[in-house]
Amino acid sequence: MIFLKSILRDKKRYLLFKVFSEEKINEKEIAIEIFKNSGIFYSKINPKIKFEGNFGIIKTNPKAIEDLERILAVITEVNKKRAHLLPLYISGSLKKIKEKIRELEGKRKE
Amino acid sequence: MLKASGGRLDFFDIVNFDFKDFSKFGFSKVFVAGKDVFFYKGGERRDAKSPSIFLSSDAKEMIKNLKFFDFFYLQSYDTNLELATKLKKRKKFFLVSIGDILFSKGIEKANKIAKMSKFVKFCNFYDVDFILATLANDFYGVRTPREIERIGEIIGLTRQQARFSISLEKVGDIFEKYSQR
Repeated sequence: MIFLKSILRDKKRYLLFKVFSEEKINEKEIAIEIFKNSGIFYSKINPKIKFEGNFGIIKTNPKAIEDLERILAVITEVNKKRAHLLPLYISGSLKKIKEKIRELEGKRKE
Repeated sequence: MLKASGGRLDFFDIVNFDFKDFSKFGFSKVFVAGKDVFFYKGGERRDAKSPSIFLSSDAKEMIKNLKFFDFFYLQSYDTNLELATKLKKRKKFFLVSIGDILFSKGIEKANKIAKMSKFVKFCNFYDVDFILATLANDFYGVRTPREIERIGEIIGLTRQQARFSISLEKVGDIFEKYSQR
């Protein structure tokens, strides 16, 4: 297995978002909705979505993060269910994203 | 009271339902249609105590009613130079609804984006003021100021232009005028 130097590796960004929806939705449905709204830019964005409770994390490349935010802002329906995907935080490390989720969940409990 | 106190801008939105948790979304003020602002589709204005929005897809009808209303929501987003110059002269505003983009699909959505971007470029070229509002009917239609910025970028605005078009500083004078009455 070849290990690349850190400078040669692709950079990444994680976008944390909160899901508000009438019914439960999954990662695949969100990916399809992003695909529908991004059109030819989908390959540039290439999102990888993961759910943690009410929060979702999208991994993408740094150049596409603004496009991704624009796309999330226009989404009003996911698989014919009313939904709002609210972008909350952008970070380069998953650790910080998880810290943010804990912080937000802590606030909600209080 | 409505004006921003420091360098940070205060944002506003116009919605069609009773939206109470607006401060969580980052808005300083949300105007509810039918309560704080009133929509008129035609004829003369009846209520002079609150700001009014004239709603029409005909530019000529708008020119006739220019002196009665404060905001003008041209649904067809036609670029009418006569209307624009008169609106600028009277220091009134166009209203650009983000909900038009949000609640349309496919080709219709693409057409709306194209029309709105043309309209917004036209307004910027002739220095006509406009405001952005979601006109949301429910919670799922509301967008945060940051999201509105992003949608503004889709229709060809810069971030600063989008921010300023939802800032209370821009329309503060109009709402203050009515609050003093």
